[in-house]
Amino acid sequence: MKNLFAILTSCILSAAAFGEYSFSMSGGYFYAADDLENYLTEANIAIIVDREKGDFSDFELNVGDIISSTTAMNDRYFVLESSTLSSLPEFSGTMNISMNIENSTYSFTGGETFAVLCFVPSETFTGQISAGTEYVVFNPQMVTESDVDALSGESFDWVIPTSEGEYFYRLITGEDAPYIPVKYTTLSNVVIPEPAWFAAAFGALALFFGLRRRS
Amino acid sequence: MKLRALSVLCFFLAAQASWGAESSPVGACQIQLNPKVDTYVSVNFTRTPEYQGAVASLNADSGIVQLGNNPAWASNCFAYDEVSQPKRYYAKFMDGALEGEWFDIRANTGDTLTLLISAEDLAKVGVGDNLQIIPYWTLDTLFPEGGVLDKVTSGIAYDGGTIVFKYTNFNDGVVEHPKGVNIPASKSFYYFAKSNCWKSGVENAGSEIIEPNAVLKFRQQKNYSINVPFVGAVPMSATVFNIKTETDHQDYRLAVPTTTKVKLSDLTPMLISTGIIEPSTSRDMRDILFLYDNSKQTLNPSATDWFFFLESTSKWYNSKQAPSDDVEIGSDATLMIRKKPQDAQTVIKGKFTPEYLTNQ
Repeated sequence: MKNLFAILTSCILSAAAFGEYSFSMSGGYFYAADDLENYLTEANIAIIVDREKGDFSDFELNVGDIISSTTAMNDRYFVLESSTLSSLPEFSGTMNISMNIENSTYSFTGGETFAVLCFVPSETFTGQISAGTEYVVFNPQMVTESDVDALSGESFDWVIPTSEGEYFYRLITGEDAPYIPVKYTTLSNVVIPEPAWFAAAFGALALFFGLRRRS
Repeated sequence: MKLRALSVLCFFLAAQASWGAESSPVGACQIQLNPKVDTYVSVNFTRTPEYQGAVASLNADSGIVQLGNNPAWASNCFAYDEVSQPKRYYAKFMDGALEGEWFDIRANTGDTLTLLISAEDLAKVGVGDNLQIIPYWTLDTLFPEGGVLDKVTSGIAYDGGTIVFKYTNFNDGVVEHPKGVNIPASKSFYYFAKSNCWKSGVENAGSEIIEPNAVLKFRQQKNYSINVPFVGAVPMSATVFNIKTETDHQDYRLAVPTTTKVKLSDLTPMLISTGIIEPSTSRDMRDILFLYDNSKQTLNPSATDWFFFLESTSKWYNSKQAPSDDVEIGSDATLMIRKKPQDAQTVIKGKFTPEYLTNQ
């Protein structure tokens, strides 16, 4: 009888809906590839969710990708939040994202991995990635074994939660443990134009020279 | 006008206590539990103190405190015994170096108390310090016969009744916070009409201790609201929280330490000056304070907001980096501290003195 009670109890308690949880990401700094002395004070930040629960090692930004809060980039990656580095003087250069999430709203099942994307567009960012955008994406699984010691004490599990609560994630660079080396937050990737863009450009050039020769 | 789902009426009544002028005023408040909603409550009222007196002498080796004026208690009338003396008591210091701290009473003679107290703390007790002897709240005394809460009338545990959740464990006089973060409630209770008693699972739970400044959560399962009255003594001394640091991230659920509304900056001495919360730098949020003020009318609500104390400006900021020193916190709200890993387990104490005492 006691067991029956216990089973019913656990069923009723677990049936209580898994509701909203709070999600916060904070930290800094980020650096341009050609200036590791001064951290960036203006850049875009996004939280990218990988529905396939990967480690982001094969993540790439491409021309035309849309980075907008709660919008799918494609079938695999989902932009949970898009923001900018803080412009407040006392928080200059830091990121601070805070939101409440219900997994069902975004069809998350829990366990999806996520990463921080920091990027500096080549021109004013309109929500769509353009050629020349410099970026870096970070997920703790990217940290090499030799740098793992520097992360001791911090959470490696950047995954979508499966229960309610308050979830805090930090990404802080620095020379000493438990901070991570700045190479992980240095914008070392550049979005290159699509082949079609080159074809169109060469076509336009050919047309230009052709017209000049004829005239 | 936005309907405020949680209405609280707080008022003070004149005190009438049997043991003299140092009586505690009686306070009362009413918490509204809305359907299909979880409501957090800070238990910041106490039961009526049954004695107040001054320390006449003490024995530093045994945890024994002798009270003056020969109270002539019956032997072990304050000492808990499951069968012969199920009413459990603690002693709370009203002034002196230990003001606001409370200690489980283990035994007593006609004029002495044996307290569960460390030698270090006992050394801080001074002759002349006043203390009160207060019975702990239990489910049976906080909600006699279930009070106005919905009772379970079927034979199935938790079925349709108001569920009461508790987040800390009271382990023989010591309050323990379950280890880790995002910890679910450690216990849950319901009133079982068939046997007229409180239950946790299938076990009787009427004598479950609700320690001073505990955090409770109520889940109203039925499709109507109920107004739950709380009546108790208003603490007439500071309130002290003890937290034991851990070597991993740790959450501590705390009651709002007063029966009146406070500003976030009022908590700075208790939380920051004592080291309970380590200030943050601009990019490194260290220890965080979460506020649950019941404005989120849902099951399992996340925090209404969270705050950190910025070292460089000595001010509180919220999750949106907005200055928050003036954020008001009602006595009906609850708090949670998330502390970063520490090198070792140590006990940190934070004392809060309400404004109604400092203005006296």
